[in-house]
Amino acid sequence: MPPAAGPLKTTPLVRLFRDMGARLVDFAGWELPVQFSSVIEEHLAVRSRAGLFDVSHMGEIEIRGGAAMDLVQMVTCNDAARLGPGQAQYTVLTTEKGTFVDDILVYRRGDREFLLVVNASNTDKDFAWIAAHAKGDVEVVNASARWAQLALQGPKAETILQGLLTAPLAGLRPFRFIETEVQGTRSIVSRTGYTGEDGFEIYLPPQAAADLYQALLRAGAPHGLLPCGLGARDTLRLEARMLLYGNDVDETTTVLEAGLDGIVRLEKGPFIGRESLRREKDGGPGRLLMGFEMIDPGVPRHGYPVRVGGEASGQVTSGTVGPSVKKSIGLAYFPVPAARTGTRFAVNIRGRDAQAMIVPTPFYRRPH
Amino acid sequence: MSKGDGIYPDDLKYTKEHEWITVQGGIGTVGITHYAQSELGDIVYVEVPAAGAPVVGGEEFGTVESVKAVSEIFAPVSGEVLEVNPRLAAHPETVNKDPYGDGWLLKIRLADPKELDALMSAAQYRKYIEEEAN
Repeated sequence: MPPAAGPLKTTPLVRLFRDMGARLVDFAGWELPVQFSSVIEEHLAVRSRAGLFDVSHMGEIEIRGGAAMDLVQMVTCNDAARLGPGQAQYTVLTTEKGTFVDDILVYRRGDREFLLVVNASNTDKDFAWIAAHAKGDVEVVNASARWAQLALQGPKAETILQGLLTAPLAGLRPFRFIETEVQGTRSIVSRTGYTGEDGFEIYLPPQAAADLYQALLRAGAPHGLLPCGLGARDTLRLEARMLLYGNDVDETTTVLEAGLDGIVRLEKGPFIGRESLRREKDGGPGRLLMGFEMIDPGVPRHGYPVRVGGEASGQVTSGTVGPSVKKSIGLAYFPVPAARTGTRFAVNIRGRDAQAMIVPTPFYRRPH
Repeated sequence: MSKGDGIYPDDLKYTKEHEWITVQGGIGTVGITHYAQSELGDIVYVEVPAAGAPVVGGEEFGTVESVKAVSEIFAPVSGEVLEVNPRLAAHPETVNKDPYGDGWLLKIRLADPKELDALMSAAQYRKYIEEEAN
């Protein structure tokens, strides 16, 4: 990610993070904590207990009006008509080529009202893209400054959050949300996340974010909750094979190449990129994003060259040592004949070819 | 507390790239400093040359990788690698836990002990980190 010009943007929690001694870094123009204690400790806390992330840098785009559903259907490839109010969906804002403008979450708040949660670095681009396709009775608002977002993730998340709410969480299924008061502040509480664990994302006004963050830390302390940074978020999402925009997917990779066939709903009616994706589905994509683990010692990193059968075939898109799986793991695109479990290939680690093998994903699946 | 605070034993010599060395009977033990391991965070992989390989003072001879970053390590002095810390293959996090003890990286037979004179004392290194941190 290129460094942003000018001062870094901050979330409502930056002062608190400085006081907590977090290590802050420039992430896509935002000053955000990469770690509080240790990436591995934070990662393992989320897997076994709970972790709390500030993800207020994410963008929020509101779409409302009689033509809101039509607009959401036109700009995304998943089928938003399957959503009732109170339901959310992972989807992709697609280009005409079927590639990623962005990968996003769509929340249906009412018959005529949607909230789209987008990647921080893409917020302005996404807003312009969506607004440019708006037709008829629809209003598109970049509401990013009006929403803070906390992510409470891990097997203890429900217990910890329930103490601060009157609405019952036990019956809230994955990808469902409620609009309720959290500590007296109207908030959206959704059973979603990007770690591979059970958990919640809480959307609330920025001025209430620091109070809730501290209340969650206090409520979570007896359960072993840790404040977590971007470092753990990255290792958690990679173990769960969740994609990172800009690394694993971008405007040059199609939704089908990324292996997201399940969210490409060609039958739903017209949408941007539908014809390209239909052709690609008929013929089959030429390459596929696959997970791999290292056989030889070494850590695969974003950008390292990959060779299959001696032929250059691409690059590692994401790679790390997975703290839960305790292996060097990564993602890379492979030409389709090679893109299957068991294929051996070489990752060039700073000049040295190291053997690796394609394996099934996700690398980590929660046991409960 | 400034970033320079930490443990910097007086009996070690230090490099500007944050390695330490201690020499006994012409054999140097080499590691990375408390400051280096703390800046890197969780160390997940250490790559150093095998016994018998030559190293050249001031030149890169391996890497220490944390979850998020790759960091090159530089030889404090020239010589021949005698032994690599066998613990680090399975437990690279030992470098975080005990950078001057069990987390040592390798042992070198020194080619020229005079090269040690170019390295920093603990006091000089502490001052160097404070300046670098600011």
